[in-house]
Amino acid sequence: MRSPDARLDPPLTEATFYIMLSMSPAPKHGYAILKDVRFLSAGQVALSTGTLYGAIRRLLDQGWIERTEDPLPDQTARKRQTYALTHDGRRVLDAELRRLQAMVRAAGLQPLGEGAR
Amino acid sequence: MKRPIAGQRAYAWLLRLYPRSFRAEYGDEMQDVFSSALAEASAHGFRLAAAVWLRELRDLPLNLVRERGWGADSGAWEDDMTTDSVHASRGEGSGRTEERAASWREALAGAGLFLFLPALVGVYTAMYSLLAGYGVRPSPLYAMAGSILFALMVIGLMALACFAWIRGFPRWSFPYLGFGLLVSLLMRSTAATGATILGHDIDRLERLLWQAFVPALIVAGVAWLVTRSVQPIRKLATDVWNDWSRISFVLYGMLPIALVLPFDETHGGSLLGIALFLVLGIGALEYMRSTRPWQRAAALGGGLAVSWLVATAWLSFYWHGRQEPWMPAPADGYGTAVAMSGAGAILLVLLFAPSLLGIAHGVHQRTR
Repeated sequence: MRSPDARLDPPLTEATFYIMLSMSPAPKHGYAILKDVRFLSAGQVALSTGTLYGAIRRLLDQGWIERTEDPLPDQTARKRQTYALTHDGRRVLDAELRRLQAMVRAAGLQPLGEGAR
Repeated sequence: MKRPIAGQRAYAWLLRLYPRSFRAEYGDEMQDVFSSALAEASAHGFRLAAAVWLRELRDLPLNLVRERGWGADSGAWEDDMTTDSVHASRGEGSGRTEERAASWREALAGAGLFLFLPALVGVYTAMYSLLAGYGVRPSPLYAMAGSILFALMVIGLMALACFAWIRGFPRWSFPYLGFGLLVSLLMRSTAATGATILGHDIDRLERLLWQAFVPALIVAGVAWLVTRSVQPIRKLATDVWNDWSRISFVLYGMLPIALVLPFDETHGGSLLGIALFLVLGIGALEYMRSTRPWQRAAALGGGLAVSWLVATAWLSFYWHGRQEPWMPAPADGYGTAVAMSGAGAILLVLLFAPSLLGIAHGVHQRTR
């Protein structure tokens, strides 16, 4: 049964998942997230700037990410904003990873029919 | 890295479509990120740069819907973040009517159909009188003007239906859905005899059949492209389940056509027709401003009863003793009154049924 608090209740959308995954090791700025998402999804998810910042706004509203100081400021450009996962955000991402791993494990236990691969 | 200035300017213009608050918070960052992405892509050739632009333009409608809060009443759809999160918190199956009166703006939007139709009738009548005044005999010109007005009405309805779909079918949109549905059903079996557009004869279709639903399909396609979500449909189902009077409101939207049909073969009833539509409009306004289920049912029932009674009285007097060339005997005003009253009673029952069932359902839910 699903939790009544849908805010902490995966599954996440593909874009949200990759954005949060990108911030997982360290805080990132917008362009780094954009490139990370593309790399992590093997080119399957290519975000537009509008979609990225719409997602960032909603993640900030949910309290799953927060703004941080850029640890590696670019001296030539204006000060860039970076984003990091919060404690809640990390919990959501961990829960989503566990859910995905469980699904992959379940798929491994089940002999797949012809044409399934 | 060289940054394409024209591209940056175009993107800055695009950013102006976003709400001011969103722009103020993220505009500079978005501009930086887009410029970086475009510069890097441009270094690898035109195709990659075009792809950056296409991605931005592809996502723009949905992003605007979300950020401008046009989506499903609360703004963005709740499944933006999680893919399946809708059900809780909506009180499905409660059989309750929302206890909130519509704002005057929403109320006017709900009554808009009944105000727009008199305007349409007025324009057509004025145009007809003007042409007749200049001695222009009924000709393809009339048919063409009528076709253009009809096309404008269909296009307007389609735009409204799209907007309503994107907004998650707010309450004001229900009469438009009913009107559009009935127009499609009528057009399905109505021949466009004598209809010409710019001299091109289009009456060979005889009957439109499935083509009558092409506008509805286009609306569904456009709305789906913009929202790419089933949330508006879910919201429609939930709202109707929570407030059954919305079905009555859909039927109410069909009444202008039901009211016009008995006036076929009559002359000089345009002003009365306009007045009757306005009476229906008052009923719709009252419905939108009401908060209780019985008030809503009474508002719609009142609008129908008053307009139908006036139409019955006028038609009874009009036909009493009148004989047109195609009639074998003079008409009977009493017979007209009986027929109209019977039809009105059936319409009232049909209109009240969903509202009354909804009220009974709500009472049943509360007493369980």
